[in-house]
Amino acid sequence: MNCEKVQARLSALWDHELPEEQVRQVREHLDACGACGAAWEALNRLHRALGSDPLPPIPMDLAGRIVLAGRRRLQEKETAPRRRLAFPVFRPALVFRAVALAALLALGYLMGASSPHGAAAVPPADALEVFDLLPSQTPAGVIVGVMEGPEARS
Amino acid sequence: MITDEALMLAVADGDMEAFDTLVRRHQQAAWSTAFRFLRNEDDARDIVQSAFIKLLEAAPRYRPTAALKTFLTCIVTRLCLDWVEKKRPVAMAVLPETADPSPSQERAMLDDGLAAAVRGALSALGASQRMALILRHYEELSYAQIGEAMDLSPKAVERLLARGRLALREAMEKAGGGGFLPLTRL
Repeated sequence: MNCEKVQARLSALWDHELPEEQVRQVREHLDACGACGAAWEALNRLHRALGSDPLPPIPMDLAGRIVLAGRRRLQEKETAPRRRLAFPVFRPALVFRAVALAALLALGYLMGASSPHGAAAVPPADALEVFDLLPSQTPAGVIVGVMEGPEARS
Repeated sequence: MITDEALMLAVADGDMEAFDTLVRRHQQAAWSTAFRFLRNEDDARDIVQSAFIKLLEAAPRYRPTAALKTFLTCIVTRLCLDWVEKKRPVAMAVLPETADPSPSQERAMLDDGLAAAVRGALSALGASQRMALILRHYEELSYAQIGEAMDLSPKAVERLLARGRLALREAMEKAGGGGFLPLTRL
């Protein structure tokens, strides 16, 4: 194992995360190589330095504040209105309403089809109200024009 | 002593005394990770509180497949990384020389030089390297546990730590802290 590979493994060796076989190889190299031995020593110093950084004490009554916040959160959840589900769930009442609506629509359609003038039919001329000065649509096949000549005069 | 798992089951049933016990049992670890990473007491307090509230909300879904401490560390770690992602703070490798330092800077100046150098060097690292080093060195988590907390493979954690330690050494040597020898160039 060369110096580059050994130094790349020093961090894992320090953490006891190196496979046993590699531990033996790296340790053998460290015993023989001054440069890698110095890198190992530097890693030791680094960890001593990390250990020298003190941690400030936990803020006063942090636990109390957290528990209070937790109680509030649970209360909010209990009092909050329930959210509607993104996907509708099966509800018998809704199904009944849907079936009833469909039946009514079908009945309406059948009644419309049996009538002499269907739902989409153009209303006949005699059905026009008196205030319909002109029918909205000209009946098909009727040519509207001005008659001229002797036939018109007669 | 009641186990964490038993306490979590009680919390899931709405037992706030059990929650209180859990908070007091684990607040030190959560505080240590959050403060060392964020270096700000107010921010760290907010993160610790948010982490425990998330734990409370997760209690009904909690299954004791992993140790509660690992689960909590996972929450704290992700909250910290999200926090940095949103705030994008300017990392300070060396303490600025200002006439009116903030309380945290003042404390750093009063500390011994080595601790201040460590603090400055850690702040200069990227968020992932810094978090991996904190979880490994201060919380003594295994590579697998760090990987779980940071959503990385153990091999990726190994590389992250190796690079992080190298960067930390370089930063400390630049700052002249701790009597570090010059880096061995390969």
